[in-house]
Amino acid sequence: MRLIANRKLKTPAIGCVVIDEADRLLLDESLPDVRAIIRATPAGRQLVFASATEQPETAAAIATLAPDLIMLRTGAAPVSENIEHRYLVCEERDKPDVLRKLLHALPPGRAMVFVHRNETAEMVAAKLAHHQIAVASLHAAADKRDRKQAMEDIRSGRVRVLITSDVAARGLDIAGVANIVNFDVPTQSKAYLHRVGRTARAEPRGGRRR
Amino acid sequence: MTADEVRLVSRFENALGIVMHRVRLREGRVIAAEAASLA
Repeated sequence: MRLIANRKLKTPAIGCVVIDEADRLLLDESLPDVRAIIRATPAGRQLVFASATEQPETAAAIATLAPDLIMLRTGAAPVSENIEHRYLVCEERDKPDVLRKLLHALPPGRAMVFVHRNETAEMVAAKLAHHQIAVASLHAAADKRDRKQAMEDIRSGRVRVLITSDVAARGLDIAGVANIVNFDVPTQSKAYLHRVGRTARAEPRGGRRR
Repeated sequence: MTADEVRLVSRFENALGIVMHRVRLREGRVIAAEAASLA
């Protein structure tokens, strides 16, 4: 929206608008912006809505934005068959220590550790760093510069563990993520789906633990 | 996950068509929980 408002993006030439992660962007908080962006584009442009999941609220929004929608379903399994799903049971207070041991036990490769709260991300990152595990944290409360640094650190291999909240569960494509750890287990299967989708992205195998 | 969170396992298995295996950590390795209980 800012690019359009500042006239940095020339909308009259746009022939196609892709709304990725549509199930999230078409919820109430983002929907006005999406409507405004679509309104700013030529009437004859194509609209594409992409999402790994469907929900009734977004279907209603799509119906108003694109009444002539053609639905295409890939038919693929929602979760890659190349992912192994495993879980460990422990006490809540033991989770940081179990995580540390687990990270040592996992095969080499980048790991993403998901937590519910920003504070938990900081706490877990600090405890792992205390044990000389190269780690970065990425969450909504971090400022833009810190989030960028965290992404650079995990992508460059400077760290192999990224502690993150669900802010990073969608849209990110980090090569070589071999393991997803749900430090805090999501309560919705859809959230689980998006988290584990960060691994086995065009790779042979991925693991998910906790 | 905690004992409380284990109830979510069947939810994920049913909703996503996956199978989740319980594991344990032993001597720095991840092993199947069944194997640990037999050892």
